[in-house]
Amino acid sequence: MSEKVVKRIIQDTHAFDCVECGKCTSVCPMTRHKKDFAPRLIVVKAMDSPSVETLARERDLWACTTCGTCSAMCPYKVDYTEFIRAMRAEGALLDVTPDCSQGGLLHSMMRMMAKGELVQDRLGWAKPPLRVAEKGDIYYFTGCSRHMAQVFEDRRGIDIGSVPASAVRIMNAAGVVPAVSRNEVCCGHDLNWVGDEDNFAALVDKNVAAIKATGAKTVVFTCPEGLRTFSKDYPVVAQDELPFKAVHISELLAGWIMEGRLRFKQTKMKVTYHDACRLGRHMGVYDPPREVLRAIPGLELVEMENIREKCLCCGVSGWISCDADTKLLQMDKLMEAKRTGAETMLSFCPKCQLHLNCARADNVPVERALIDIPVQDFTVFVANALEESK
Amino acid sequence: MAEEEMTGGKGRVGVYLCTCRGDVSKHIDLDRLAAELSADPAVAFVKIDSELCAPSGQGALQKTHREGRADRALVGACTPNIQGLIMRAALEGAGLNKYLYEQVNLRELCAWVHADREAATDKAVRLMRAAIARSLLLEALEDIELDVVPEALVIGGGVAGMQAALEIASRGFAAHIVERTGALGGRAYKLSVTFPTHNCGICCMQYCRECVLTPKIEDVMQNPRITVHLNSEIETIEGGFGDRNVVIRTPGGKKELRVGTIILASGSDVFDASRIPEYGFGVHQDVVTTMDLERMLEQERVIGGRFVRPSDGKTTPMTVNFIQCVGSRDRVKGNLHCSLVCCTYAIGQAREIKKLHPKTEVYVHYIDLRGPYRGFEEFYEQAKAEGVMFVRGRVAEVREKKGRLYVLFEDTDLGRLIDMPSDLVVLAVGQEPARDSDRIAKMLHLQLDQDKFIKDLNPNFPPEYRRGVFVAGCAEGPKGIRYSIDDAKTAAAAAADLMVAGKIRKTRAIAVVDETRCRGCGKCEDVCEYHAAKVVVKNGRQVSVRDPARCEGCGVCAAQCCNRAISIKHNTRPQMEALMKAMMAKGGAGARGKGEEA
Amino acid sequence: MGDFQPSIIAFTCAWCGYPSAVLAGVNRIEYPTGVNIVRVMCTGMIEPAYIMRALEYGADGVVLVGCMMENCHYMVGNKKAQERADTLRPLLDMMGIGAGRLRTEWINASERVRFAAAMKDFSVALKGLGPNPLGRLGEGGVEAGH
Repeated sequence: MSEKVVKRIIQDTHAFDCVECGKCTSVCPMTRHKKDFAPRLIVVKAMDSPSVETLARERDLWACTTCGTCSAMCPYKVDYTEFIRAMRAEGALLDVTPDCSQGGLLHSMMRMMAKGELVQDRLGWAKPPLRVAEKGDIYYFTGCSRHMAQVFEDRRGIDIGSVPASAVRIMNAAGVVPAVSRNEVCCGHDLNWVGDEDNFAALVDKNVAAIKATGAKTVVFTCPEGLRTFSKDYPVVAQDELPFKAVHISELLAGWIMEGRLRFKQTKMKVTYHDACRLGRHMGVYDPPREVLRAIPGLELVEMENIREKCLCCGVSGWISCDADTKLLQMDKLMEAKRTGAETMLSFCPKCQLHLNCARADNVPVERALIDIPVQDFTVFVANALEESK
Repeated sequence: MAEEEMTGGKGRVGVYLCTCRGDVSKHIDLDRLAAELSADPAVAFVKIDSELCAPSGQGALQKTHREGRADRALVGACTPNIQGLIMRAALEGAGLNKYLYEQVNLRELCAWVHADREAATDKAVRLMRAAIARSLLLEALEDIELDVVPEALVIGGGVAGMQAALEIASRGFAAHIVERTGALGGRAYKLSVTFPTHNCGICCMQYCRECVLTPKIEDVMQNPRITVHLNSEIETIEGGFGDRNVVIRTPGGKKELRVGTIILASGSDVFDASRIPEYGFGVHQDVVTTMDLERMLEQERVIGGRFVRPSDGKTTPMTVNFIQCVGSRDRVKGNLHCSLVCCTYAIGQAREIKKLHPKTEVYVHYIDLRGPYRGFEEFYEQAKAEGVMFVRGRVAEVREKKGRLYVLFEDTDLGRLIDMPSDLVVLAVGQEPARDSDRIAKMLHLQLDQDKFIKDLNPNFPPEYRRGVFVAGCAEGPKGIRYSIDDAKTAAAAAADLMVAGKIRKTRAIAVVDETRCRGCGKCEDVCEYHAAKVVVKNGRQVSVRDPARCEGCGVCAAQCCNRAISIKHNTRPQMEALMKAMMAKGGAGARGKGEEA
Repeated sequence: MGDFQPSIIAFTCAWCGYPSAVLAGVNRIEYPTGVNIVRVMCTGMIEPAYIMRALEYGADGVVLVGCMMENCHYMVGNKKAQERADTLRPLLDMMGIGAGRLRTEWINASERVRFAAAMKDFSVALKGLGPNPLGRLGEGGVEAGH
């Protein structure tokens, strides 16, 4: 029975096509510091002994950050990340659970949103002069960055709580009044990636219903994880075809800038840009953020050595996989960013910001000056660069 | 009473319920409880006894455990802290690892606080189920053994400190006395005669300087096992139970000591009477404290001089007014606490004045007369017989009018306001925690009580909880000389016990770090009060490690760690989560997630 | 709502919280049966994730009962617990669970009357807030993944 399950997963992800070429290993960020880690090894193990019980307990199954660098490089397009996710889902059925950061607090929070009929304060940030609506063609997905900002309120140097307000500020400046909903719940990304399919499905249902009620045809995301989840994972799980499509704010921004709807003030700064996995490799959105940055006068974008498909992962996904090895990876990432000479690294992903900021703030095994580059939120940055109108 | 038993499934948890001689069974239906629990597949059996802590009960526990049907025990009875230790010891005697023992307090936390028997039983079921879920995850552990360095540190060289050092030395261990001033003896040495005799006519061997204190100081100075560091202060105390590194500042530079036990005998300070300006201390020369009075009386009694007023240096005071409770029992300008000894010593000094100058009028102004010591009542009666006058009423003010001192007070017995001229006003000052003692208390992880004196842990607690640190004398609160010395003897005995044993067994329920998850961030190190956590470099990466001697198992670091890298043995997350889950679950016994079915 | 008996998980510390509960028992001071006492060494051991778990499992309220501030047996444990609770409360409000479901009580080991009164008071307040919107574990809704 277990064997059948594994075989099905191998089939669905084209894992059979793996020729053991090792290209994935050479680009995998985890392999840099984790001993004996290689993406293809888990596939080999699955083919050797197709047992969910053993596979679910493999270190490598949970240590993978699902960044997708392997799949991006794989000449045979083996879908490693889906393999990992599906295997984890099988493991979850056997009550195999990973150890999470924050003691699993965040996962608890997401499960609560899935299970309970909660009346959340989802829109406390949407106060005048911000303009939002109950209905509209365009829906802005608020997401959980404010919840996370509260959990991590003692962390200095990042601001993810201002993301929704910044996003709407930009949209308003471009003449768009997005719909929002207080019935929105967590997109479910993390639960999906640790294999909690049941609770994920519950979140999907709730969000689809909430957005449907607004009549929106386009759902705008600032968060890469939300974007990926809505685009790729919701259609698989949702009962009917989704009446809306998901788009990233950078894509809209790029368009609005071309149409002259947005103007930015002089911002003399050197910045570098981090291609978050879920936005870059998972969704293929590489150019729009760069176009946005180029539109800001005075801003100089300096690129890191590893960008786009090869951009280094921030080290943690789904609140699992955080350990001493990922810390070294984060040191690599920060050092690479610092080497560009940029004053700040911009990212759309609130998680990347949290993880990299955490790595910066800790005791570090390298000289602090080498990694001391702040990580800022892209949306907040752009909102602050808007020219004051009126 | 006959024991009853119900056999359950093939579980490993042996459940023992106690009726507490009917006291628990009156409020909780133990039969129903037993029936519900035995249906749990995790339970091997449920036995009901009438008195588990009695020898018969202990015997029953042992007999049952030896049958080998269960590998862990859960007792549903009274409080684990007290009788629970008896039951645990009994089972340990039958071979059970003490960390596989769990107890639920069904008595104080259930039977005795809920009137509804049905509801109380429901709750008992819930609590026991939760405990069963936790006990399934318990691990057998062994206590840690730590060595105790056979040397003691005594902080403070007053009577308590000296006594403690002498006691420790007499048992064969080395002791270091660290004294802030240039001399041993402390405040007691500044007193000339002490309660209860105040009369050296008979050989009393109380604690008077001439008879006892001076020889004691010589004993200490000459004892080969005692090292005295005068004019020295404690700079830092680091380390854990049984092995501490102490750095002291001496006139000759810094010195490092390594000790196994510490006795804190830092004493108390005398209240600064100038904090009550209406008494005019520091303003009028004829307003003095009882400590000053000692010097003045000494002049006449010992040195061959005369007891005179400070203002002119020649006239004998004809009216002396003692003001009691100066700085004590005062919420506003002083301390709330009573200093215990002031009534006693002031009356002693009053009697002394009367003896030297019978014609002098001596008044003692009091609110209450407190003499909790043997012989005080007789002492007081004698004082009255000798002509000391006791006036009830707190003195409001001491002022000067036309070159004369006046004491203003209400005689509350007569209901009259009196402004009495005085030649000498003596302020019976109270005791306060010694300057800087709070810093040392903090270093030793001792708490302060409501009056900021140092709170020693209740001696009823097992020795491992006291961590080899003991408080003696006035550091713990105002007290008389005899009691300071008793304290010192007790503390020294406890310290010596540890050093004689040479080893201490410490609970294994302390923090452990999963080095694969630790990121070396240092948050645990920052938050650990006992400096038990340290980030070191191991195999090229930073990880946090624990010093088992210092770790108290409080769990603060484990909660601070954001990556679940730290767990506290015997208080692990899975145990906690299983407990909570079972506690909140509705419905069937041993309910698990859907994974069970597949 | 009259029948609703709130379920409370009370994390009591071994040095002050738990003894005060035991003394309440010795003095036969009654408080609601919904109070479930979990003994921990120090309230500083309670991570926010435990509180969330307790709520996830269906507890209507969670209370941390520890030593008075400045009197923690482990010196700073209760202070950390207070900070963590203060960080968690706004999150509970945001989620619609309600900050009022999380309380902290800092009392002395001998304050048995205060312990019982605090439990009663919390129970009454929870009756006003209503049952945990997540429901009790095992009762409908989606099972917890972990």
